[in-house]
Amino acid sequence: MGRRGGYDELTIGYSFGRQVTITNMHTLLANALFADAVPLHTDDEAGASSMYGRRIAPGPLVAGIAAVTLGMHLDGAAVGYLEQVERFKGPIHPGDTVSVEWTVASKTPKPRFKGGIVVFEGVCRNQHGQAVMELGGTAIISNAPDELGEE
Amino acid sequence: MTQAAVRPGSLCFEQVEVGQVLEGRLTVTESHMVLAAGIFGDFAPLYVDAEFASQTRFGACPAPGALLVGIMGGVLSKWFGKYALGVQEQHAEFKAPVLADATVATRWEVEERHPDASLGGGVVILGGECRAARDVLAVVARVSLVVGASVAGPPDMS
Repeated sequence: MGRRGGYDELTIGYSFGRQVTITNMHTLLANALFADAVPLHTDDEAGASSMYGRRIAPGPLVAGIAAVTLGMHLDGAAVGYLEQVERFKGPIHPGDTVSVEWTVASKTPKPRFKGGIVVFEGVCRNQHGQAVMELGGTAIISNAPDELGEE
Repeated sequence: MTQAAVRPGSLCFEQVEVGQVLEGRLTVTESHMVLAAGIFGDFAPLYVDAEFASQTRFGACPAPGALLVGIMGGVLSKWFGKYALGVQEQHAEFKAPVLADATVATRWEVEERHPDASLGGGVVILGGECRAARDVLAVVARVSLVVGASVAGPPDMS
């Protein structure tokens, strides 16, 4: 199945995703970006004595990587990202490799945007196949340009 | 209780009250935006190509929504510190773009608190918003946060 990015190309049930290793550098930079110095993210000993057993990655970091997976796949057809929901089901540690999979859940045409609103459902799994985050996303998507390059 | 009654980084579950307000401000610089593009892996023209972005309805590169959500989360980290034990669920609606050099003001308000000894404290539900230049509402959010209880005796209210 070829890549589909425009509103008119997306069908209910169509899925796509990517896989990313969350490194210590991701975590360190995210802490700086978000001004987030919670010990669970920055202190090995605090992480070891927590219910997670070791340090965890900031949730917004992984959620952001998941959201970007949508944007990359849609490749410019996303006019605006309206909403995102994240439900955290398990810890994500530095060193984990997460795979993000999004599925088209519903479509509502919006002719004034030359496309429509698409609701996506997603899941992040760690390298053991465990679901660590469930996701929902809503975006305005334009139609794919036609062969003449016109919208 | 107002936020001035609690020292940042020390807000434990016993100190949390419905109606409590937690605030923070941060200037979103171009450096934030470049770094965000790198760690999220998002090099879409809208975020990294100023010429392209100038032709869009935004007029310039906007900050990624995920960056703003992270900054809002950072305000919670600032207040709860070591008592922030994890996010259960978060919901964010993006209302308006934030451009480089805007100072964003985040305001969270405690809506519910649910003690749960099995979690070592309880669950706190907060509603939040992030406003940018000229008080424009950029993000509305709601978060369910696990907050730890203090084990060091009475809360420090200094």
